[in-house]
Amino acid sequence: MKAFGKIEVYVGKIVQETKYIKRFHLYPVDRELLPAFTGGSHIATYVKNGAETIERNYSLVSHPTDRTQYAIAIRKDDHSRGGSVYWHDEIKVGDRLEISWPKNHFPLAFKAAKHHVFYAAGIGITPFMTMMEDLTAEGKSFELHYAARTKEDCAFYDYLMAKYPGKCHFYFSRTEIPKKMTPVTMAEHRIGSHVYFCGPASMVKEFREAAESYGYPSYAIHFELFAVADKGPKNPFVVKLTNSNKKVAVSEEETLLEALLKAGVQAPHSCKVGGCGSCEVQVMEGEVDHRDHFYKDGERGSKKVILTCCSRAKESEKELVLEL
Amino acid sequence: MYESTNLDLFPYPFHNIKEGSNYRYSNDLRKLEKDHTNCVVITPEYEKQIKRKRELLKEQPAVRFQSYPHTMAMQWEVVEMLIEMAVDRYPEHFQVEKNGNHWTFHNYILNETESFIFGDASSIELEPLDLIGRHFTTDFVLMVHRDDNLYLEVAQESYAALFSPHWNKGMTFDEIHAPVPFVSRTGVPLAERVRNFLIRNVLPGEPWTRINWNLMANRWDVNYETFDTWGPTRFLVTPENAGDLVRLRVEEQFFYRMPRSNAILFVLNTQFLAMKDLVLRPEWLNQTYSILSDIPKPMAEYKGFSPFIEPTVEYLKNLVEKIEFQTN
Amino acid sequence: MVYSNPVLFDKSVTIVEKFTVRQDCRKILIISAEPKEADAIQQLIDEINGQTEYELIEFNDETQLSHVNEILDQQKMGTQLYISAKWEDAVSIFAAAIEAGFSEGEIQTLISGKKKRYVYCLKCYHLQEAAAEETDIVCDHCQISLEIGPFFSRERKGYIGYPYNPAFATTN
Repeated sequence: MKAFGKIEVYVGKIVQETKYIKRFHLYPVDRELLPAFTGGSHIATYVKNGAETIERNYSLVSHPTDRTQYAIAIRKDDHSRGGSVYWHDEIKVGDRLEISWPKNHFPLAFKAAKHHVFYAAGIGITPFMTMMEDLTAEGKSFELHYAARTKEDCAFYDYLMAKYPGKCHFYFSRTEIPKKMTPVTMAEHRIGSHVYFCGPASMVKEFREAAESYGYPSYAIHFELFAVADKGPKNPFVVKLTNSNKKVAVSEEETLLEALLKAGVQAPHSCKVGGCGSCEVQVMEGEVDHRDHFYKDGERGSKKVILTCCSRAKESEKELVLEL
Repeated sequence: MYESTNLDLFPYPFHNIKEGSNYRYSNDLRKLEKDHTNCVVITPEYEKQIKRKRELLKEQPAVRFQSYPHTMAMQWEVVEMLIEMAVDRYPEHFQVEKNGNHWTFHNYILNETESFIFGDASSIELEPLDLIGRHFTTDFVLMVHRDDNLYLEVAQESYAALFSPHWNKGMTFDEIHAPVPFVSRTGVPLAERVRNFLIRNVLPGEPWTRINWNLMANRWDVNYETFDTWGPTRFLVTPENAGDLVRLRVEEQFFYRMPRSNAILFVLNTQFLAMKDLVLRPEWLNQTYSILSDIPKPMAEYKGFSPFIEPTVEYLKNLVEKIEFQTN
Repeated sequence: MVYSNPVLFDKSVTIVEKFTVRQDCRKILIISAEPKEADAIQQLIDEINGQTEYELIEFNDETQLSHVNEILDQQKMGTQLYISAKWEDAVSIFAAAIEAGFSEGEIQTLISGKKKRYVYCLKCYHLQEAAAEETDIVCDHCQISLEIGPFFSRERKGYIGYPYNPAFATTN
C-alpha cells in the first residue's frame, strides 16, 4: 500500500463499450498494488488540461479485489460540464493522471438485508457492477433491473447475461416491443429487501416516491445521483466563521465550499454534489436554503447544519454564522 | 514504569486550546497532514511497553483481544497497512520480504521474525491483528461501517480507560460512548455528531486524528473487569501524594478508513505523564492547572476522576505557587 | 444469524404497552400467541377499521409456533408486524422476524406477564437472571458483588454488572 493522498496512474487500455460509452483501464505508475475497495465505490479523477484540472467522480467497474488496475466507464454527455467529452475525445492510451483512493458513499446495506434489488437507468449501471461482485462472493441474494434504449446501447449486456443468468431484467425502450422499467416490481419484493436506484434525477425521484408509498422504511431505500439537483438561481451571500474569525463572501458564480477553500479555510468535503454529507458544517445563526439530497426531509429543520458544497443562505442580506 | 521520558514525543493534549480558555467537549478531529499520516512511533519506552502489552494479552486473552470469525480478511488488510508503515518510517528497525504470498516480517529492535502466508490465517497461531499488534505499543480497534453506524468487530487493547474489548464487542459507536452527557453548541448530541463525522470524512487515503485525555490515579489500565480493585484506590489521592499517584493519561487517536473492509481502524497511542513531571514544561503545568481547575462536574464523573480531581488541583496549585515563588 | 441483529430485552424499543396503528405500511400482520390478550387484538382490529389489509395468525400451542418462520418469510416489503405473546414466545417470534428481514422499527411487541432481565458479570463473564427492581446482585458463579449498570449488550445478552468491593462502597 502506498502513501496516502492521490495515486498516479496511466491509461493502459480503452474499450468502446457502446456507441456513447467508453471503458478506461487505469494502471498504477509505480507498479505497486492499488487499494482493494468495496462494491459501490468511486474514484475522483484529476485530468490536467493545460492550466485547468478537470475533477470528476466515476464509479469503479473493475473487480473490487483486483489490485493491479482500476476500470471506469464514462458516457459521453454533450450537455454536461465537459468532463465526459474531454475523456472521450482527448484521453489516449499512455496518458497519465491522478486519482483519489476509492471512496464509497453508496455502500451495500447490512441491516435486515435478505435481498438486494438494483434499478439502473443507462450509465447508472456502473456502481451496481461492483456491488453484484461483492454479493456474489458472499453468496447473497440479489436481482437487477436495467433500462436502456436498445440492446446495443446497453453497456455490459453480454457480460451481465452470462455472469448472472436469471437475475437480470432488461428494459429496452426503443425496440419493436418497447418495455418500460417502472416501480411496480417493488410491490412484490420480499420482506428484508433493500432497493438501490441509480440514473437520472427524475428516475431516482419516481422510484424513491414509489418505494415510500409501498411502505419501504427509509433505511431500505438507497440511491446515488451524479449531479446537484438544480434548485433555482444562486444568490450571493456572506458567511461569518466563528472558529477562524473570518468573513467569506460567496458570489453567484460559486458554491460556498469553493469560496471557503479559496479563502484558505480547511473545509471538509468529498462528493461535491450534496450526496455524502462530508462537508456538513454546524450553523450557529441564519436561515439555510437546503439544496442537498443527503438529509431526510425532517432532518433539515431539526439539525442546524449546512452542506457547503451545494446549499446557500436563504437571503442574500442575512449572513450565515458557521462553526468553522 | 513507562512514563514518557522523551517529552518531545509526548502528545500534550492542550496544544490547540488558547491560553486562558477552558476545556469543553467538541468535535476536535483534525485531518493528518501529508507527511504525518504514519501512526507507528518508537519511543524510548518501546521495549518495556511491548513486554507489558504481551504479558497482559497472555494473562487475560478474553479481556484483551476480541474478534468475530468473519473478520479475517479485514485483519489481513490491517496487517498489510501496519507493516508498510513500520517499514516506511523505520527501515532500520523493520523489514519485510515478500515472496508471492509468503511474507517474512523482521523486527530488529526485538530481534524477532514472523513468517506467514499472507491471507491464510491457518499459517499463524494468533489471529492476524493479534499477531502484528504485538509488535506495536498502540491499541487497535476496528470499527466496521455498516448502514449508518460503526460496529466494533475486532479489538486488541492493553491500556483500557473504561473500555473492554470483551464487553464492547459488537457494539455500535453510540453504544460504546453512551452516555456522553454533552451536546454540542448547536444542540446535537456529541457522540452522534462525532460518529457521523467519522463515517463521512474518514475516507480511504485521508486519515484523521484527535487527542483524548484523562487522569489516572496510580493505574495504567482501568477496565471494567478490575473495577473492584482500582475503584477504591481513586480515593487515596491527597494534595501531598498527587504528584506521584496521578498521571495525565493521553490517548492520541488515529483513524484510518480501510478501503476493502469499509471499516475505520482506530489506532490508540497511550502515554502518561506524572503530575510532578509537569514542572519540566512550566507552560504545560500552568495550562493544565488552569484547565483542571475548571472542569465541570458531569465531565469529571464521565471521565471517572471525580473522586480525586480536588486533591489533584490542590497539588497543582501548590506547585504553580512554589514555582512562581522561586522565579520571583 | 447475524451478530448485530437486535435481540429482545426488557427495555427493547419494540416493546409497547398498547398497539398503535401506523399509516406507513401496506399490510399489518398480527401474530397472537397469547389467547388471554384477545381483547387487545380485537381493539387493534377495530382501530385498523378496514383501512389497511391485515392478517391475523393465532397460535395456540408449540407445534403451531414452529411454522412462524415460514409465515414471516413469505411477507412482502411494506408489512408491519404486531406480536402478542408471553416473554419466552415473544423472544423466539421476535428473533424469527428479524431473521426474516423485519427491522425493529417495523415490529410492535406486547408482552403478557413478566419480562426477563439478565446481568453479565464482568469479573467471570457469567450471565444470570435478575429481578426487575434489583440494582445490586451477587454473581452466582464467582460470588463477587455486582452493581447493575444501565448498558445492555446484544453480544452478551445482558446488562453490565460492574464488580465492586462492598467494603469500599461509597455513596457518590
